[in-house]
Amino acid sequence: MRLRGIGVAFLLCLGGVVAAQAQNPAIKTVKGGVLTVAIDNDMPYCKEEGGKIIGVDGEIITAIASKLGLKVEPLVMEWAAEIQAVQSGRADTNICGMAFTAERAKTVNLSDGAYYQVSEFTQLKDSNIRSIEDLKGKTVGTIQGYFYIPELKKIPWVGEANLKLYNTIDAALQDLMAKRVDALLLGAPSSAWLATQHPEWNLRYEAIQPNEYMPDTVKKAYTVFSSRLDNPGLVQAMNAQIAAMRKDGTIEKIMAKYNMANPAFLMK
Amino acid sequence: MGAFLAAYGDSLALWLPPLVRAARVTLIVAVLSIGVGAITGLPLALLKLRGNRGLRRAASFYIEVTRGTPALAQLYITYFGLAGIGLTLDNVTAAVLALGLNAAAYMAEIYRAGIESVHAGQREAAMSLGMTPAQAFRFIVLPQAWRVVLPPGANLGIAVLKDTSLASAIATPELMSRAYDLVGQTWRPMHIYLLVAFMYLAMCLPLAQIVRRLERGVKRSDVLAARVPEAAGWRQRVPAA
Repeated sequence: MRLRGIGVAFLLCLGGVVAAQAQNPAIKTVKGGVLTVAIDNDMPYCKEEGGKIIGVDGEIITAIASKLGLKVEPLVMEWAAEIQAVQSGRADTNICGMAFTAERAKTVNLSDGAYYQVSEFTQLKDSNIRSIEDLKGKTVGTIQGYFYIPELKKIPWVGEANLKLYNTIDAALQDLMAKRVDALLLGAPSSAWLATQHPEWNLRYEAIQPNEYMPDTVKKAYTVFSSRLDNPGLVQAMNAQIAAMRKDGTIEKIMAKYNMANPAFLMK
Repeated sequence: MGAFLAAYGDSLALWLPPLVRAARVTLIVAVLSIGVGAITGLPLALLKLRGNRGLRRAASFYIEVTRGTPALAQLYITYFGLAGIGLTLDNVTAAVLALGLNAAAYMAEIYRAGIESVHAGQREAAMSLGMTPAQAFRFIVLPQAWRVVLPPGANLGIAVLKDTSLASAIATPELMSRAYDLVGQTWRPMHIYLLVAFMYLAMCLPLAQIVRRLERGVKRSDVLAARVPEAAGWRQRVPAA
């Protein structure tokens, strides 16, 4: 009799665990029980490794998925193709240092911010670009599709003529080393990652200062995750988890792992 | 569908100017690359046909290596690889050089096929009339080979124009690079890619038209070549006994 009671209790516990891990029926995903995540292997934000996603955004989305009873499955592609994967229903979300913009929010649901983005000029040690004024007569580079490109183009001495757009950070850095470009405007997480991974490159980083041409860039953009417009349940569920993780310090801990302990990144 | 088209109504005026400027760069890179390919391909073909054994092998080696490796890898090597040994080319020059030298390998084979389509007896006949080998090539072989070379050459031109999209990988401000950027800004990939596809089509269609005309011209000249002697009253003269 006692043994039967223990057996029933065990089954009830097991059932509880399974129920806790089961997918919430309000959340629609491309594959049942799986959160398919489009990524572009851009550290420190995200990288596919052994079927998992590492990096700041990778670990945050994995933690969110786990709380929602979903297994994460990465779908690696170019940055510009990620959003198409979400819109066309091949992926549930896309990540990797994606900033909120009103234009983007018209085409997909965007989650609440996970952390702030700060942009920096990455340059060679002997270069001294501290502000956008110092870009006069110089060439600046960044990555195709980055949210601050429209603002960069509005700077009269940059425009399209002195702005080089690369499809990967690697290509941009190679050009910086070859001195074909004077500085790169990249997210500070990328700079922080480069500083730890390649100290021998002797790069220096200068945070972009407030200026009249780039109000959106310097007013602290924040990192978001996407979902299809017809899937509001997913973004609501992600928002609840992001709020909880911001509050309990989970996001702060993940960021510290990737050399992003700077309080300027944290959203409270 | 209505909402899809409405986005064009709202934003086309914003999207078009940077894309048109980029299309200009695409055309410049394409025209210069085709020029490099057409000019470099001929000596390569001649080396393969008429060079000594060493030169023939060198030309064959170049053609096989170039055709057997991706144009994207050649672009990277030209832009980033050469910078490593101190030759720092700007992105447009590197794109023209890489795509042009890639096209040269294909052009060389097209020239070779054209030259070989002219019967060797014609060259021998020209030389028996006192022409030098260079004159026989210039006045007898080349004009006839040209008819065979032009249609596939123009087709290669269309392929090169579309291959310029690879130059986005080395930060060339061409059409595809600007399309990727606009997609990143607007997150309207289908709108942008359809627009860009239409722009490539608008650039390729005139070339395709030229190809069709050339092909018609070649066919007509072949028919004429078969009929003209009789139509002109040509009769083989029988030597007097």
